[in-house]
Amino acid sequence: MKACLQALNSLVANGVISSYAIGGAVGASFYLDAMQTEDVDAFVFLPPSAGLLISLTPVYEALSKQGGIVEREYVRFGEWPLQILTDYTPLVAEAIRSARSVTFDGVPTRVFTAEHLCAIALDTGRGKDFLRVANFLDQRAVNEAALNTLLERFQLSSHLVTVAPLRRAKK
Amino acid sequence: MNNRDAAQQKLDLLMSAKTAFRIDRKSKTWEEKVASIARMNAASKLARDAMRQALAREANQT
Repeated sequence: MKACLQALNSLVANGVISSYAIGGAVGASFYLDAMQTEDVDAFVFLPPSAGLLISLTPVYEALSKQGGIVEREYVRFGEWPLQILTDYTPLVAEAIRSARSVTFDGVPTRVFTAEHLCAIALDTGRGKDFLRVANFLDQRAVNEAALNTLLERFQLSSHLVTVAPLRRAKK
Repeated sequence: MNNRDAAQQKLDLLMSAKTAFRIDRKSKTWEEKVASIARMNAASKLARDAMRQALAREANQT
């Protein structure tokens, strides 16, 4: 994990990506009890390019030069496969911009806010995503007022209905 | 190995993975939690591999 973050920081320093933030289950584990996941999700802003097409090839090449091993859509650093995702929706773009600056084992990095992690999970909408939101609420790891405002802005409030039975089921 | 032993072995594997998960939930810092996720992945992989072998043995015996 530390090697993933060091490689990502090096990509920012070299201008390959403008910035990044950690999301997904590893990002959520900053706030919640550890939960199983097999990869690290890094959401990146790419530098402005002349063309319309977005290519992650330069990112994968730069990560390889940092010692990563490309395996399908991942770049593996030690035991951690790193997945690179772009700001594919306005919500994700806002999540990258609003990410918290933190450190991991002495390495500076950025992690999505709890509210953005929940909103993205609700937007993604798989079973495990809804369960993660239930965990955030049950563990009081998210500011509910701020989350509700965010969900209203991105028209995701109705997705919370799916989370309620999960919370009841866990009790 | 008879069917009862094979079933017990599968149960033991599942319980050991479950125990690893339960213990790891006590981790506090982000670094500890990430380390615990890595341990959970390793435990899951071991359990999956062992289960696959146990099932293969079972299939060979029948």
